Amino acid sequence: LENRKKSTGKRLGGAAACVQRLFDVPMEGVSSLSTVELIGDREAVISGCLGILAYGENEILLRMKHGRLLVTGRDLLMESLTGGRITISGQITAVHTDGGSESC
Amino acid sequence: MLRGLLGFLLGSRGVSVSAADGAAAMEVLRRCGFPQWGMRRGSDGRIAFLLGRKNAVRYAEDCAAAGVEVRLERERGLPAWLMRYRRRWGLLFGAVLFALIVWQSGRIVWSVDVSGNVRYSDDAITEMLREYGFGVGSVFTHTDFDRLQNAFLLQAKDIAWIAVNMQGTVAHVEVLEKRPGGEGQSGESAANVIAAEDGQIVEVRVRGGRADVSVNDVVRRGDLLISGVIRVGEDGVRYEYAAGQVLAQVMREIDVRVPLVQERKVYTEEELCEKTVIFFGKQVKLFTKSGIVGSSYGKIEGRTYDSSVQTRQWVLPGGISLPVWIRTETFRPYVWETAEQSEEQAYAQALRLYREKMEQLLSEAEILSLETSVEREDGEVRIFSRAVCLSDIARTSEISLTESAAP
Repeated sequence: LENRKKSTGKRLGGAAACVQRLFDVPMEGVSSLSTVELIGDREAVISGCLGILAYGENEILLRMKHGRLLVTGRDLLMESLTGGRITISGQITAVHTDGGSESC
Repeated sequence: MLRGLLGFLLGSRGVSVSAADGAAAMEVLRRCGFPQWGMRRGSDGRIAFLLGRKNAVRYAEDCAAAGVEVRLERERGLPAWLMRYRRRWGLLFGAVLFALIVWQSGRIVWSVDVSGNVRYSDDAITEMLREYGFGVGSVFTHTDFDRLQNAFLLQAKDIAWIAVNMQGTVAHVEVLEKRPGGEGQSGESAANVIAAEDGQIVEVRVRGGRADVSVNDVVRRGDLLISGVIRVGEDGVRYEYAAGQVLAQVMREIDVRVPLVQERKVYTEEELCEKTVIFFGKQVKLFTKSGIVGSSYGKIEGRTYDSSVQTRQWVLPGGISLPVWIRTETFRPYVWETAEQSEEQAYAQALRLYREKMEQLLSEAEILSLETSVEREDGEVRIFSRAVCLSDIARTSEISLTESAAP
C-alpha cells in the first residue's frame, strides 16, 4: 500500500509555471519547491528542508524553503538526514504546512 | 544492512543526545551532512545514532560550539577491535595460521574416488598414482594432469584410458580397462591355441583360426590345437587370432595326507597392536595397546608372529570421508608345538582338505569318473582320488607377426 501525496509550496515561479503548463511535465521537474512523500502512515520523506526547529516524539517541526512543515504523530523518529532530505518514521497522523494542512 | 556492514569494517562511534537537545542536535547533524545510521530513541528519551569514527569527534565539537551536550560512546567495529587486540600476538598468529590452513587445504587432495575399474582394485590404482606424486595430501595445483595420465598409462598396461578430474578437493579418477585379448582381436596380432595339458579330444569349437586336431586325438601339453597361421594357395599365408574351446578328457589327481603327529601353531601372548594415524598421506604413530608410546616391534623381536593390518577411514555423519585413516597393525606371537591326534581326527581333517580340493576341481572341470582310496600308512591318513574329467584345455599363445613373417 503506497499512498503518495505531494504538497508543493505556495506558488510556482513564473517561468517554471509557464514551462510546466506548456509541456505538462511533473511539477518537481521544473521547480525547486520542497516535496513531501508519504508512504502510508509509516514514513515521510521530506526534501528541501532548511532547518529543524523542534524534535519530539509526537511532533517534528521543520523549516522549509517556503515556510514551515509540521509532522505530528506517535513515536516519531528521524531515521536519516542526508543533505536537505529527511526521513521520518513512526505513526504519522498529520502533515501541516504554513499555508494550509494535509492530514492522513 | 549494507551501511551497518560498512560501519563495522570502517569503524563507528555511538552518539547520544538528550530529548531536550534533540532539535538542536539534529540541526547540527543536518548542517554537518555526516552520514549516520542506527537512529533510535532510548527508554529515557535520549536519541542515539552511529557516526563514523572521525565524524563523531567533529560532530561533538560542532555540538559543543552550538551549546548542545552530546555523549560519545566508545569506538566499535573492526578497526577498534584490531586496536584493542593489537598487542595480542597469539591472536594474530592464530588468525594468520588459520588463514594459511584454509588456503592450503583448498589446494590439496582430500580424497581420491576411483571408478570404472574391474580387475584393478581402488587401492592399486591410487597406489600407482601415488608413485607419480598424486594422492591424498598432494598439492593438486602443481599437478600436470596430462603428464600424470600419460605416465600412468605407460605403467599400467591393462588400463586403456584414465582421466583425473578435480571437483573441489576430491579427485575423481575414471579408468577404462582393456578387454582380455581385446588387443589381439583388433587384428594387430595373431595367435595359436595350444593345449594346456595332456588329454584326449572330445570336442573342438573354433571361433577363429583353423582346427589342427580332431575328436579322439590324443594331445600332449603344448601341442597345437587351433592354428592362427592359415595357408592360402600354395605359397600364401594369412594370420588370424585363433580362438575357441577344446574340450578333452584329462586326468586329475587329488592327494591329501594328514600326519598323526603334527606341528601346531600356538599363540603365546596377548596380541599387541600399533596404531598409526594417516593424515593427508603422512603417517603419525600414536600408541600401542599397552598405552606405552613407541613401537611394539621391540617386544616381539626375535620371535615368530602373525601380523594383520586394518585401515579404517574417518567418515563424518552424512558419508563425508575425511583424509584421515587409522591404521591398526596387530601382532600375534606364536610358537610351534608338536601335537598328536587320533586317527579319527586326522581322517576328519583329511576329509575337510579333500573336500576343499574337490570343490576347486569341480569349479574348472566336469568329472566323468572317479576312483578314491582311503588308507593309513607310515603314521598318516591319506585320501587319494584319480578322476577323469572333461575340461577346456585351450590356451591362447600369441604369435609375433614380425618373427613369423620373416622368411
